[in-house]
Amino acid sequence: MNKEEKEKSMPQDALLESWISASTDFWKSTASMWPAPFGGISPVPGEAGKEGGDKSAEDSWKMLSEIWQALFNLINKPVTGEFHPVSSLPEWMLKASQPLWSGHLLFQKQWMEGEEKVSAGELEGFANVAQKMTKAWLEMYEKEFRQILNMPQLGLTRGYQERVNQTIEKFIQFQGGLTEFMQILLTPMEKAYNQVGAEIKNLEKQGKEALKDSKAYYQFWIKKMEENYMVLMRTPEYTVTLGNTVKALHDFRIVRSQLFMDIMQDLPIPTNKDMDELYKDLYLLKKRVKELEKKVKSYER
Amino acid sequence: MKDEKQGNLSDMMGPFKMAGNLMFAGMAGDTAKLYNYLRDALNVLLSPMKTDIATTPYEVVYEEDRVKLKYYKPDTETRLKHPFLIVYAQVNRETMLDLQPGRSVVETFLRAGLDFYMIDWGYPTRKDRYLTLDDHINGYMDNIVDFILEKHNISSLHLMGICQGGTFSVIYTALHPAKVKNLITTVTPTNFDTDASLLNVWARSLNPDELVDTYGNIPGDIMNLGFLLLNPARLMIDKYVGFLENVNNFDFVENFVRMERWIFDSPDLPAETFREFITNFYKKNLLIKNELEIGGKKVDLKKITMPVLNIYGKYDHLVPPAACDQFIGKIGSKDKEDLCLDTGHIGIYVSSKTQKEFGPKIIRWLLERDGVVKKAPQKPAAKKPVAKKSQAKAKAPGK
Repeated sequence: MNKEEKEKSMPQDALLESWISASTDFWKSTASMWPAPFGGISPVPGEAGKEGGDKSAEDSWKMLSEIWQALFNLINKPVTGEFHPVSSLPEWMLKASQPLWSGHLLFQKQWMEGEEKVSAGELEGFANVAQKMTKAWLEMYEKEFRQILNMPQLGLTRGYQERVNQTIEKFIQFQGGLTEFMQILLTPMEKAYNQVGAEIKNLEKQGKEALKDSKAYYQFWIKKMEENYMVLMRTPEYTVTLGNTVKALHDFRIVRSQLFMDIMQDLPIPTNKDMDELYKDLYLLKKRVKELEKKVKSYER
Repeated sequence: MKDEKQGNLSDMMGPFKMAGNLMFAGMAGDTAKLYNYLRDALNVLLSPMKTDIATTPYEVVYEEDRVKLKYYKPDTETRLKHPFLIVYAQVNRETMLDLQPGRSVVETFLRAGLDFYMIDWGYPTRKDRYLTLDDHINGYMDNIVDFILEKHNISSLHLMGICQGGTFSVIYTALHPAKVKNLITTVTPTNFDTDASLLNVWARSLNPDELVDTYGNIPGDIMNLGFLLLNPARLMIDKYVGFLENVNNFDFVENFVRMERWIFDSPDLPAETFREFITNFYKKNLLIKNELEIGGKKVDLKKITMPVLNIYGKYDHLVPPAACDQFIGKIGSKDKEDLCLDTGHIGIYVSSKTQKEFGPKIIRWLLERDGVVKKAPQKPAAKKPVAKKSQAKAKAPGK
């Protein structure tokens, strides 16, 4: 983020912080009003249970606080002094919501740029704006969310959890790729609409009568659209986007299939892998039998 | 600023407002006409229609796994001395040759007294995913040819290939030349190194391994989507606008529905065959370079020495002339002929105009080379009614 962007984003950051702070205050006051055994539990340990509250509840709360503290230490943010879980929320939430927030800013930036162009009289096609927004979303996804989905998993269910995360990740990537492809596919249509508009203006300028009926408009539009498609489909941009979409689809279907196989292991249903192995054996066996049959026939002759 | 923006938007919307006004004005001025149109359209759509395709009777004489061999016999006496086998592509179905009475290559052949066999590749399932080009050409095709030759107690047959089936036929003929008396290839791609068709451009950028890993057998719907994307304006919009314009015309709707039934009746493609086809043909162009190997044997086009007739469409957007017209120059035959018709990939088989040229040409060419009728002297290329590049030699064929 450059200086200018930082300055632009300042009011939004302040807004977020104040919202988080307000909501935290609300929870803080709500927590202090809780009745025993939860009541008396002050956000500040040590003050809890003064009025005969449950000791075990206080212990649990204390333990929870320690876990929170440990978690914060894990994310390289050591908390000094006494730990106050609820009052520490703003900082934690700010960090956790950072990807969402930066994404929102990126979107807003793209939108404002589009608006500026419209105000300056530079009409930008909807397809172009949509393409930029999609690109921005994909960039943000790559920078922020993707890392979360790729965090190392631990323990007995590590493999399963990894496959769930991968399926989500690949699904998002495929949707992004498909959206980009569909947007490219819509550009010739939009261009053709604009060409119809320009043609009518042109006819009017020349003092000629505009096209007489809707059929003539349609014919002109479809012809232009066909021409635009023929141009688009030979561009490297189209081929690359198509290739990327197919690749994303491939990646998604592979991980989805693995996830389904995990699920199906617990069901009395053979998986694709089982069936493919079986079919491969069948294929090789049949091939061998056919070859032998041919050999026998040739000996008989 | 706001006014400017509004001005821009207004400019943008102008043509559409105008088009809308014209359309509604037209409708309002012609309410009675519109009512009649809607009433007729409803009558047509609710009427019973004959949209069945491939209704000509045939007999299934051979079956192996999913593959069937259909035998068509004319009511009259058969005229060919040698059996005649037609090999269709694995993309879409061979029913296209018998779309409807009056627009049927099958009907044309039978009326001329030709009996013939036709391979129906069937619908591949998951268990067919490992089948290779070798399995189809040296397996199913060769078994079928052996079956026919044995049945007729003869050593060779006439072979006609269509589209990808033509490529299979070329490979088969090069590998088993003794079993093929005459070869006819129609809209058959043999040279894949061309940008004339978008299909070639895209196929070269495809990663077939990924598609095969993703789907196993390649779904027919995916193939069809690819074909539609070759010209979305015409195939996904204009075609259906045309349908709506003629929805009150019974014959039009019946033909349209019949064609739709054929177009979207697309079997899946066996995974390994698809992988090999994209890699060896579209990416490496091995066939025309004489570098292809099938089942461990080299496919040498020079071994094709029998008479060859190669027909293709001038406006074919799937297999353009550039994909077909090098073949004749690469084979060893002396009696060989290129015939380029003024039509497209499907039109060559179904358009009323081409029905008068395509079928009769094949019948005449075959009967002459089967020794049934005397071979007509070659006409000079310039006088022929269609664009034609002929290298045929005026000599008794295949002898």
